[in-house]
Amino acid sequence: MQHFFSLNCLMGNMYADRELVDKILRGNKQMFTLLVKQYERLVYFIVFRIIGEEERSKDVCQEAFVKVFLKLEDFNFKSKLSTWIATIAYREALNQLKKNKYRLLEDELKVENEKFHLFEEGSAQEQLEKMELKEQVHFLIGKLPHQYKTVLTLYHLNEFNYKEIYDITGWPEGTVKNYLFRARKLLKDALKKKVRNFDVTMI
Amino acid sequence: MKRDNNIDRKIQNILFEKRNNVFDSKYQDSEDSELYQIIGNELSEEPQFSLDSNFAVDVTKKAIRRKKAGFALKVLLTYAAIISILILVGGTAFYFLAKDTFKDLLRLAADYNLQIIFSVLLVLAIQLIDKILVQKQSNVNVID
Repeated sequence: MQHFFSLNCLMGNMYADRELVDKILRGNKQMFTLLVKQYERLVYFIVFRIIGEEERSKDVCQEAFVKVFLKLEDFNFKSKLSTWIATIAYREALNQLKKNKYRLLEDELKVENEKFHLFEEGSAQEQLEKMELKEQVHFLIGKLPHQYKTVLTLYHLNEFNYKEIYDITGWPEGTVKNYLFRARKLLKDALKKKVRNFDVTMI
Repeated sequence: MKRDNNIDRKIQNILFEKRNNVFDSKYQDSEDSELYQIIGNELSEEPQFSLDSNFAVDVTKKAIRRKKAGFALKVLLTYAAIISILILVGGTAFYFLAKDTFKDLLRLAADYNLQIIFSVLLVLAIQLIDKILVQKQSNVNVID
């Protein structure tokens, strides 16, 4: 029963997507505004997690949606519209990141070196001391390499499955699983260290 | 270290992959499990959303402008290609049919080169102004 219900929802959503795309391609501009409204949160969260700066993220989101509009004719409904839009947003954010080659290279090295820690610098730890647990988690997410931030956002926030994350990023399922595991473990280890330090201070 | 990873993997599978529904109490009560639950909750919570309320309308305007500009460029390039081919073919035919007249025309063009360049630039400027005016007009009615 539940399966039937989910299937109906999925079909309904796909029909809505198809109708939306058809109307845009026939020249209905308001429908594109509707599409942007429908997917702006999805795009913003992907871009913001990768870029990390509000103002730059807004520009990248805008650019991503312009590309969606220009390439809409090429969308063939082989995947969900949300997956296709997320792919464009991810690539656009990555292109922006490539302009900051140093950061990109640093992220690559961090991912290659499985034993890296979230804090090697003292200032970050001092900053963390002043935050509440919720804020600490978000602060730590911001410190992760973009690959980890991307999989965490796509899996936990946007609720894409492994196959969809593969479609978006091009990383094989095994890599996605590995990144997810390592990212969560890094966050947990950093929080644990913080909690233990706090306990010792309290005593 | 490997054992640690195995425990972490087990907890993550139970909490995030919805696998192994029989929750082993030794993992459930652990500090790691609690921390993972906090992390999981925060990861699925939306960060602050800061796009303006008119973001969608602005993006639509920008996208339409970009599409029009792309289309205009395509048309311009097509015209340029057609005109170039016509000049080339016509010029070659003219050269073989009336060599002397062709040479006279070339000499005339060389003598009045400044005037010719000025005329071409004037036509292009008029075209450009016309495009800008048309674009401004269409921006006013872009969301019709």
